[in-house]
Amino acid sequence: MTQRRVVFAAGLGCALLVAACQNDVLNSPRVPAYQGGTMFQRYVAMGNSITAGFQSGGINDSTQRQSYAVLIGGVMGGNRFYYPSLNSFGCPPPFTNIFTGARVGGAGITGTTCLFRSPNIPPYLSNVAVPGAETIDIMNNGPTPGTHSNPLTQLFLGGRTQVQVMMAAQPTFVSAWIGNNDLLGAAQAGDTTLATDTALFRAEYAKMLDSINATGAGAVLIAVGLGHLANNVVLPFFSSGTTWFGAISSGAFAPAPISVAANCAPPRGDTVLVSFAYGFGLVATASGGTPVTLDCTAPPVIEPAETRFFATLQLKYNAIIQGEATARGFAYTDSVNVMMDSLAAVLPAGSQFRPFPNVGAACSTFPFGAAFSCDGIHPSTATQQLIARKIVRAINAKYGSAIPNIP
Amino acid sequence: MQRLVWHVLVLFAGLPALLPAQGFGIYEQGTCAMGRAGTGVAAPCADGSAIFFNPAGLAGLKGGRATLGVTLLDVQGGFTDDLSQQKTKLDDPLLAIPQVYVAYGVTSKLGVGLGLFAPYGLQTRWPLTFDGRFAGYDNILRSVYIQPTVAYQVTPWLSLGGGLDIVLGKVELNQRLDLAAAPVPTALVPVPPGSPPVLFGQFGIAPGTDFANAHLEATKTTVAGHFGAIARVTDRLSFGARYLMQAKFEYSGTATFTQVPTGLIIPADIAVGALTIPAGTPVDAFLNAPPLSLFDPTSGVFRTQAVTTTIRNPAQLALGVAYKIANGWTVLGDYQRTWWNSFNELDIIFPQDASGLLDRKLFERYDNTNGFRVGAEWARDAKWTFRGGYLRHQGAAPDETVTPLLPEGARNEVTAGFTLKLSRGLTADVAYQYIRQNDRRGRTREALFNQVPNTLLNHGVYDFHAHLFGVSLGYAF
Repeated sequence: MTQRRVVFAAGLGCALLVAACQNDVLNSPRVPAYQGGTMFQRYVAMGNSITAGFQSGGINDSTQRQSYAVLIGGVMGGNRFYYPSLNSFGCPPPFTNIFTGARVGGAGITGTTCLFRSPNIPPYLSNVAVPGAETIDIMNNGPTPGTHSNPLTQLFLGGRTQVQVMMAAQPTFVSAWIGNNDLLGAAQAGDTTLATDTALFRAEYAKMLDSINATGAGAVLIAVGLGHLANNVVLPFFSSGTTWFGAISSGAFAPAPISVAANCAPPRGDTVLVSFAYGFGLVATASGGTPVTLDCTAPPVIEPAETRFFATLQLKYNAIIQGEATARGFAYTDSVNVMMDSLAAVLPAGSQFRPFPNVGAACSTFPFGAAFSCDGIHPSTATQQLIARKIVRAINAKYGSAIPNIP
Repeated sequence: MQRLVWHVLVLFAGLPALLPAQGFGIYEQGTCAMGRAGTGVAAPCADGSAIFFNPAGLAGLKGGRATLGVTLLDVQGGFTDDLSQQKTKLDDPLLAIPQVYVAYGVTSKLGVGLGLFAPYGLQTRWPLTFDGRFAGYDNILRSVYIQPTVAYQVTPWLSLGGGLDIVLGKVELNQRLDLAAAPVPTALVPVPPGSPPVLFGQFGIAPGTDFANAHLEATKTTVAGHFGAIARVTDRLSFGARYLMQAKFEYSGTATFTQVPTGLIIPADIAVGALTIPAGTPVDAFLNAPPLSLFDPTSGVFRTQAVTTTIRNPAQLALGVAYKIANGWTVLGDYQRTWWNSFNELDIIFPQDASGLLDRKLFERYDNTNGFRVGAEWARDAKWTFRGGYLRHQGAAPDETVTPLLPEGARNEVTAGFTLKLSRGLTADVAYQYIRQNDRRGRTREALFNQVPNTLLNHGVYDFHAHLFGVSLGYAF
């Protein structure tokens, strides 16, 4: 009798102990369900202004959400993709009319307006890109000599580097699109000496990739540039001297006292490039009553030899990037087609790429073409979508994954 | 020497473990009772622990009993973050909780005793790498009850007892402060009336950036009462009840702060209100220089200063039944109700901080809990007695208040133990208890700006289990 009681008591105790151990599985990590989805549980994007979502000479929460990185993070479907959301109207707010200088938010808003970040601070950042960043800035912050930090570097990274923030997010997949500013800044100034030399580019780029390797994440590396200069395609931010010659000669900016030198006329004018910043800067000066002349031998104007230099440099950068991708087993892709002809997918047809801005037009009418935002450099929302689709295709091709298409 | 021993006992009794009972309650106040799942309101153990389990149990005591016991707690648990899936383990050391009871039967009806026990308290220690360090990484709540007790057998079947509890309370909170969540003084960045201040996180400071360590420590002694009754309906059947009053502590103490280097450098000139912080400025220097001067020992927000708070140890009621079957077998059952709703809001006030930035309101909003215990005891012979039991109780913390300070929840526990009579007056008790807490979703941070928390803040799972070992020596005189 006593033995039966002991056995009963022991059995009851074991049953209760087992019941006590039936804890629910309460954690629910978001592992994407599609083929190969495990790799894309936590995606981090590194880069510069295009990746950050800069458009029309500014950046705010609206443009940030239109970045290709945010689009890709959305379809990857892993853990939430966090970007450093800026308070309305932005930092600085984007142009509503680049010719008048009007920006989102209206009166009182200037290019130095900065309304800081949203009070909803995310636990980590997935989009760590910073406008203005060059390759050296991925692992270095200002005021270190040679770096290019700006207020957004502080607002986005808080004193850390892109690599540090990327690693803090414990990524499973990283995209890196860096290097555009290494030659763009020099091109804008028309000074080849300001471009990052290939040795430094190679070294800094490799350091970044070493850091990505250290996380164990997969990666896609994106070629420098939108299209290849070597294919004689340039951003609408740059126009030929001939275009400017025609516009000024025809009185497009009258009554502003601006004239144009004969060296901007064809055939020489067809071979040089005038940046919008330089050309329209002269127009703005003239509009203030100061007579000016556009001279196509001035230092900011890009001479044919300089164009060849930048085209070659772009090819060298991309050869380095592609070589690293191959060596490390990462995916590699151009952002758009090398001829930029893929931008033809941007609607409406025929308006994707305007060689010279529709002077005076509001940004809503796409003065640089529908493929570009209202600064002639940064992709429009539609182009960001094209870029996102192309990158997803490249990732799926390399890793055999089935990341859903960008809508 | 006696004074020294007394101090040591008080000190050790105040080293609580992480919550072996509901909320921050601790029920393992005697090895004998521990072996039968803490049951005994209707029939307390004869080791003097009736002072805690039912003061009425001292009535009818023959001679004297003195018991010195210790419970060792091996606490295991941690927090698993949803996103990283990384688990941070509790850093609690092996803890020892002694109990001391001395009881004496003055007459056949009158019993007296003195007990020292700690029915409420907690210690949660987390590594400094844990995100919960901003809520508290080393948190101690001590309540040592010293209870002189008297009991009287009113009738042959009814005994009553009661005691006055002198309760020594101490609370200690160590936490890190996160610069990302720290408000920028409105003198620097004005905000519209009624709007929350701008946070340093809005200037890019990443969450998890330690910039200060806070140590808050306060003590208070208060009094409470403990009453009990036992009705022996037959020689075999008895019922019992006890009620421990709420103990209210109006703590007053000191808060000290030390700066923790962030090592961050401002990378570019940045305008903060009317002030432009130049590139290259160390963030640490910015925080500790005008106009902020946060750590200035005389005027800084984080100077050493007074701190007050009020905490209530809740009242508890236990009802029990005991039945002697035959052949030395006794079965027991207890029900316990604890009024945890008295642990509602925790206001941590810094009266000398005119800015009001330091004041905290923690919304605990605990629920009253019910606990059920069943136990059995088999006195095999005059030398050996064996025990076992099971208990289950609800969690007191609501779903939105499962935090690093007290990540508790519903529990199932099994126990076993025995008494060995070593000699005529000397007995030894040994008991083991396994605690398994249901995994529970929780958070690591408090809500910003003293806001009412909700379950949307939960971002991971707390798990907890523990092994308890009890040993005691009793002497009858």
